[in-house]
Amino acid sequence: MQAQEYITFHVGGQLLGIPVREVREVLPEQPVATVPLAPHSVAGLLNLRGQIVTAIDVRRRLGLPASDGTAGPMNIVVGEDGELFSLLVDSVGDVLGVDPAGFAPPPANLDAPWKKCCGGVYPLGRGILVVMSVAALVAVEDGAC
Amino acid sequence: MDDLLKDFIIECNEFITAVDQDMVAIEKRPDDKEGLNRIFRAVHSIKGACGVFGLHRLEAVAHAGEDVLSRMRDGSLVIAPVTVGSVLRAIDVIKEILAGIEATQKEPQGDDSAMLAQLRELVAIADGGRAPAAAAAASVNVPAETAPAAAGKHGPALADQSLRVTVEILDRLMNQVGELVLTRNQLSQLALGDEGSRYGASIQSLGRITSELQEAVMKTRMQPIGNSWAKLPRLVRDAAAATGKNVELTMVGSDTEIDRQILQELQDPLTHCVRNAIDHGIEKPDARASAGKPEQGRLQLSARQEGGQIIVEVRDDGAGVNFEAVRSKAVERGLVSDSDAQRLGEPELIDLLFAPGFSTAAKVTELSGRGVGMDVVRSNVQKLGGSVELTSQRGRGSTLRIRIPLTLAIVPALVVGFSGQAFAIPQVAVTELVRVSEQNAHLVEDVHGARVLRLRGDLLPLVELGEVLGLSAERKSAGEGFFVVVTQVGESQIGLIVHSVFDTQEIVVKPVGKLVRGVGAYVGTTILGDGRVIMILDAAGIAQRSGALAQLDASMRKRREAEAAQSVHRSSTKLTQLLLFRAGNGAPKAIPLAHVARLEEFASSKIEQADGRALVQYRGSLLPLVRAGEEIADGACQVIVSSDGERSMGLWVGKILDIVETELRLESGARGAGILGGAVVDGRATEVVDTRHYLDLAFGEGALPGEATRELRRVA
Repeated sequence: MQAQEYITFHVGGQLLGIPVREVREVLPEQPVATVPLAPHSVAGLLNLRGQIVTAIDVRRRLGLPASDGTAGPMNIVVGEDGELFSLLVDSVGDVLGVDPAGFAPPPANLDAPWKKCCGGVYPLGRGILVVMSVAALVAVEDGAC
Repeated sequence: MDDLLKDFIIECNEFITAVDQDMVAIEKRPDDKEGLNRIFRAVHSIKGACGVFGLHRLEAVAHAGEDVLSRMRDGSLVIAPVTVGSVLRAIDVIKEILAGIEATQKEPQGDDSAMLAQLRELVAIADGGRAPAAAAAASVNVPAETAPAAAGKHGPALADQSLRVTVEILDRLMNQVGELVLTRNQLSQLALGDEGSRYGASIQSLGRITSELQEAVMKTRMQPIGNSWAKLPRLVRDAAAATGKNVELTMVGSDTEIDRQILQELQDPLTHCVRNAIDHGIEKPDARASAGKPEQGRLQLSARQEGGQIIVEVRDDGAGVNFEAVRSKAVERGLVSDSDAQRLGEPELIDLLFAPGFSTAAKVTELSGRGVGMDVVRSNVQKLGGSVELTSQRGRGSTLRIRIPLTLAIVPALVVGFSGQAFAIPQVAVTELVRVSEQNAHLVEDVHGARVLRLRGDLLPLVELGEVLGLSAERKSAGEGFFVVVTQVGESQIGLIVHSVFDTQEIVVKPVGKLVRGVGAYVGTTILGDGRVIMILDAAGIAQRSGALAQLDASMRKRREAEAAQSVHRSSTKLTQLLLFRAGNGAPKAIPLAHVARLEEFASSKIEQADGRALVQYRGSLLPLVRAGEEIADGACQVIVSSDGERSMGLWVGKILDIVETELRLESGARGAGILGGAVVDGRATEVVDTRHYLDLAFGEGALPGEATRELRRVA
């Protein structure tokens, strides 16, 4: 069976991943224009060569505290349903090929925001890769605004 | 040729070209189900549209072809050279007919009976379960090879002249032109402080080319408004039949072009208005007869361009708005109290028609009563940056006028700042900009925490932009200075408090993403020349969020009542509102306020000279400036923009002083060109200037006294 490839990134010390084919590009920190009254997880909008990209603060989306690191967030630009989104994450790691046979459903005891966004996990040799659903990360939250 | 027919021909030619290829492929690979489906759909589509245009010959051929194809599709007819050949022959005839229509705009004559008989025979064979090959050999004489002769002779000429381009590509082009406009703006900004630079000429021509390119790309998005009217004749017919009325629909200006996005958004509101006019406006034939009107009601739909706007009118010669009915309905619905209702004038009552959940029909009918009211029409049009107004005369009919901008993609906007963050407000929503500083701080007053601005005798509710957007709760005092952007929201006005005003710019409106759309405070977003992303404010949304509208309606109503009371007085003395200005060193002059389109101030650096005339870039075009007096100094200039509907000019004045209401005395032109008449302002005789004269000056035509007098009567 063909190996699944994920781009890995860290948010709040956790190793997360999304399928490589969903990623448009990875960018260093970008100027983000904040949007008053926008849902909490929306960090703002950024200008990607003339296209408007909605920046999602993944920490906020997952209910984590704001980063205390000095390094600015990295941008993982993804397209979903004809719109562009940028996932703001702490750092971006390697592309990881994993054996689909190792795929497991998300642990039952995950808290709510994680459960919504987590598509499943891969136990690795060291640590666990949590596969996120891009669609869920950029979805309109219930009760938001 | 009729545009619709033209489109139809182009579409058919495309179908046919594809069918030719598929048909040939199928003969070789009879198991290609997908190819067969494509052919079937194409022929089916052609047949379907024939009825609309009354193309009976084409319909008959396509129909027979479709019958055979459907048998081939379900397997009851084998796919063999014989069967494929007869379908190809039918397709050739279709081609011939299409070419004929294209050339003469009429369906060409011709005898297809033999070919039709052949096709029917095949159908009969399939339905009868006979072996097609044997039958064909016995009775159907099909040429072994049918040369597509017609295709070569009549090339689809129309198709060669127009291309189908996906909207996506056009949108991308629009986007890129938008970026180019921004870059051009940025470059012009840089060049400003550098007069006589060697880049100057290049930058200027870049500017010109960019404007032309922008215009051309905008044009590709334009469609005749008639495209969205195509369904209306049928709708009117059905609606009239359902209500037992007799209605004649006329359409004027269907070739008026409008941005396709606006066209789409306009479809529903317009359909609703037309339905409404038939359902509520036009009376039944007997009622019309007894009112002395022709039994057939008239409904006219018209569109025209006026400046940067499209005006769409739905006019009927029906009963007009029954204001008594509106009154009692409003009370019944609990919208106003009984005593209030009696005091409401016609403008307020018309306003009530647009109130959410209002319907004047005695019963909710199948036609109009679909939970979509005039409130939805108004809000949809407002979303497009437009406005709706209704005028009505009892017994004579009503006119609904929709004003919408030509395009949504690039709009002039005012860029303002609040707490270090910039926002854009579309110019269409901005009526005026007021600077509040120490000198006029007394005009801002506080009513139990709600701030209002005294503006020419009115109280304008002020909305703290920062508070509405949750940016800061700290209020700047009037003494510290701020700007008030006076914004039109429906029929009411509110003042948005902002800290700074940067510039007016042509901005490219980009849609906001789904996560931000729900906020309701923005109409879109844009990228500034320096690459910054800023939000475009939705004045109506902001007003709604602030809750100012509720207070507003009450205050507006009071004002209207006062106006209504005054209007009796006014009509007897004929008071005219005049704008006072200083032209030079002499006494102030005046201009009828009705002639004033807008007040502007331009920096001296913005004024260009061409051909001995002063011009200024204004809202995407060049505005000629005419000095109101000899002594007016160069430098920053205050300008009264005036327009006669086609031409606009800026009257360059020394200083704009005030607005007064007084009696205007007309004069027969004895005082010389450019003077309309006189008025007494503050006990002094004041000359009232004729803008028509200056328009003529601006456009280099001789003054026309007759015209001027006519214009005058309208004003007075």
